[in-house]
Amino acid sequence: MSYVKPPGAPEDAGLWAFGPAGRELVVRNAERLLAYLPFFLGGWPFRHLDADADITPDIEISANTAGDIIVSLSGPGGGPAAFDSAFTAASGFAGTLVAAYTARQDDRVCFHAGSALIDGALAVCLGDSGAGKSTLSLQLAAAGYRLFGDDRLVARDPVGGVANGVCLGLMPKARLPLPASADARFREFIAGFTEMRTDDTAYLKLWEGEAAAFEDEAPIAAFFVLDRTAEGGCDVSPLPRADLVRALLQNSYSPHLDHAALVPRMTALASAAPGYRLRYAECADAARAIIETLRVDG
Amino acid sequence: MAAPRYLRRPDVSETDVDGEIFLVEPGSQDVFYLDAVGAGLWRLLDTPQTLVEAKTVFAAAFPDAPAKTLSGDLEVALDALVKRGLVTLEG
Repeated sequence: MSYVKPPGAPEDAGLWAFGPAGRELVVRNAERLLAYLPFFLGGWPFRHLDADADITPDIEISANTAGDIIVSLSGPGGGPAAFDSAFTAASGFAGTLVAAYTARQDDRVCFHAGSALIDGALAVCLGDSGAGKSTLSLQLAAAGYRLFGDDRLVARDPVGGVANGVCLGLMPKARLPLPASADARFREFIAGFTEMRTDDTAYLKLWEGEAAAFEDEAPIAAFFVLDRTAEGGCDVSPLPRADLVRALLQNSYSPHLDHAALVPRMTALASAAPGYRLRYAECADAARAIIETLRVDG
Repeated sequence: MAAPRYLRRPDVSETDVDGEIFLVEPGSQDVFYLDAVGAGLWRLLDTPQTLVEAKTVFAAAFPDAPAKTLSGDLEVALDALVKRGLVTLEG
């Protein structure tokens, strides 16, 4: 793909480094997206590099002749993705940074999950799209538990039988309209922390008291595989370890790893923390069930 | 002519989780999950087996199961393992 400077990019567009010192990711032409990036990613250090630096970028931002913005990740699991606006491209860029960051670190895997800190350890919510991972983790945040992420979580390989979850700094989003059953506290929480909203999404900015910062870590207490039902009720039951491994694999977001490597690592994670199936109809009930389960078993 | 034998592909990666098995086909990187019965068949194929030999072992392992059902299920399972590239037929 030939390089085309995106519309509006300054003439001195150059190289930028994102991420912690020693593990930085080099990005070419990030300028066009920097204004929108805080809606999607927070707490990541970044700096401008010498424009003449002889470094091959990990991520390149360019444009095609149709005016789409292209975010292209090099290396395993990489490739270009096209976006029709700087706002959506910034969202894609945040996801690409997270993928590249995870791929750089041999001891970590990433998966789609919502997570919150309860009594010093993480409740991690897994499930199919629409199962309520994001809403449930925000419900826990609204109840005063520190959010670690509403969409993705990185986990370190277990050491001494304990696996730590690592916050990626991705900003939470709430799907609109909120569920009809959402209580007043949840509605106030979402309204109070909404930085920007579109017809179907509220982009939230939580502060230090409500959300973990990029690279904060905490041990994983348990995994909850969500099973949302319209039939009412709420119950938690232990999940066989093989079923938890399946859920972790289905929610895996580690394109840099081949599956032969991923299966044993997910098995190790499933051995470090128990799994539960959480069948629920209302998020508020599910949040209470998670808290009670961890307090009884913790 | 000797009956063909079912044989595990040696490059398939295998992870045992409490008696159930996850397999990864190395070419496609597809992950396959075998429940306890499927895992038993996979373990049996550690030594190449003819269809008759495999049926004999399973008939002894599940004496209460109807022979016709068991035989049919075993053929379906072996066929699936072959189609997914996890097992080959030798001879």
